[in-house]
Amino acid sequence: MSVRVDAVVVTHGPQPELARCLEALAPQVDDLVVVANSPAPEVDARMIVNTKNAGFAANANTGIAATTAPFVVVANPDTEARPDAVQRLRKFAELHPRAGVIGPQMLFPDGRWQPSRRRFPTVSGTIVRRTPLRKVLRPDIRQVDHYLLEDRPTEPAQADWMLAAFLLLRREMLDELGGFDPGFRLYGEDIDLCYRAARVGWERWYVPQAVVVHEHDAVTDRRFMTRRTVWHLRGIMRFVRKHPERLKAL
Amino acid sequence: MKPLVAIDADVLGRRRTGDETYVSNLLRELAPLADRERLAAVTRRPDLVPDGIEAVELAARSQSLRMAVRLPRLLRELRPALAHFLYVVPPLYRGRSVVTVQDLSFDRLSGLMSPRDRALFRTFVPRSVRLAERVLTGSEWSKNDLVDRYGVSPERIVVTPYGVSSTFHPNGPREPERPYALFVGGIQPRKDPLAAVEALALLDGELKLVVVGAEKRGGDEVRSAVRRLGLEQRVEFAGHVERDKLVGLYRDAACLVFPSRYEGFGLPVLEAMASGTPVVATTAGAVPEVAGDAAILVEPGDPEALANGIRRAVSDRERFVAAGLERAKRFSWAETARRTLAVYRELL
Repeated sequence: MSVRVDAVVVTHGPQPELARCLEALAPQVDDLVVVANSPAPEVDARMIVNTKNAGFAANANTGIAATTAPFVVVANPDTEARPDAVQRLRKFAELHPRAGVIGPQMLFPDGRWQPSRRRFPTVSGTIVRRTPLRKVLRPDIRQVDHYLLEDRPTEPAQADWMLAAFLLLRREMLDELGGFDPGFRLYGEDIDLCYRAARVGWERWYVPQAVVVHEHDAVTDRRFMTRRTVWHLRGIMRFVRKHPERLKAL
Repeated sequence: MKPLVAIDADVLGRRRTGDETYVSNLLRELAPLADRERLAAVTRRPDLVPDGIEAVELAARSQSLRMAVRLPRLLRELRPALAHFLYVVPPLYRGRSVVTVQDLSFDRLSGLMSPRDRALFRTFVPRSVRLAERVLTGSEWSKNDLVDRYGVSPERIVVTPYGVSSTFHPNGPREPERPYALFVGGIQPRKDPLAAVEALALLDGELKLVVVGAEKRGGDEVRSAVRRLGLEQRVEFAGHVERDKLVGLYRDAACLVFPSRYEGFGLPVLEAMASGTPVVATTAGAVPEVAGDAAILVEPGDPEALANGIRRAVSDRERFVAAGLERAKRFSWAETARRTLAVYRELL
């Protein structure tokens, strides 16, 4: 009998991909919980519905608290795990007791590779990535370092942080850290969790043998000022307020 | 033919505490793992090199002369495929190399070593981390420091967390005549034994403080503080202690006091935890990474907080003993060796 894995899917608003996400995930985990802000979608799974709108981090924590397995997958509704993805992540986690956050290889629906393994942010890099400066300074070319674009490991590799779209988390670590910081609305909670994990010696590993297809939400990247950009900037501000030592890292 | 990896093991037998513990444990755990390569340790103490590793003797009276002339000359004869150094790659060595840098305390803090040694380190360590193909260090915190301070690209730094030897364990007779808090570390401002002494003064009663560690810079200051605070009967300076005796000292202690102001790893934290002894430490450097939530952590330079921490360690002993034993299991020198060997193999 292998170690149990539960899963939490956090969904905000109507998500056409949710059914597919759950269908892929359900057979791979022991217990599956969907946490939704109301109005709740109709799905075939255990459901926790918020009466008031909560952010991703708060909802993820609610879901984590509603599960009990030593490992818990936290997934976005726009992900679709390949049939053995969870098992591969779990196997790796079992063999690496120091690993607290384990992330899969992410692919776009058309099969292109999606960089999900990233560096902790630096100040100048973020300004360029998140403002119109990116038109001139082309972070996708110059900030190869941040996205670790050239580095597409074929073997498990350590990471600073990975997109929280799909992560296997160790409950022991979540208990120690107190889970995600609910002060983050939509962006930054993944960086913050990984950063706090690193501070107390938990490793974050990217395991490319596990594959998850992710319809990466491109809204933030298309337009300069949206509600999401504001949340994103707030997320950055909160991260810097919490971890001022990162300001040194320009 | 198997490729030769030469490891600079000059610290063996030199009572260099952390550095020596690192090298001797690394060699011991590498020996059974390295079946595809030959390992040689260059040392002044061949008797301390474990079986399975070739000992190459190189006496050294002057450290500078050794690094400048004798070590590169020896390596030219040995022709290793890869050489592994501690802090400094000899300037005249032209081969491929890996360097371990425990932390940058020599650069960040003045007064740790003589101005001459500090100048040498500040010249040669940055140069070495540029030259070496991989830089090994014990914590993510030290890795970040290397990136920030010397601009080393993060890809070239590999974190190989250190371990704790099974010599440190909780089972054995406990026979302290009087309860004592234990300080382990060089008597120098970086480890802040002064804070431990001042914390003791805030705790009345039976508790003693046993200070283990060689006197470096700052011993006089600590001794005069002991006199000033009238603690002569409660503070015992044990000097450098051999490992066998240290094992017992850890096990019998009421707690470890580790007030360090700068730490690239903090081996005593793990050694105490593995011995079933509660740990009161600071949030300096990599200590939180090593201790997690299994220790009482306070801000550095705050004797009052340290004293409160000691009270808590004594009153809530069971809990911290259990958490510490659990935490220590996560660290092993075998894992350090596996990660180090993976680096050798990637380069060979």
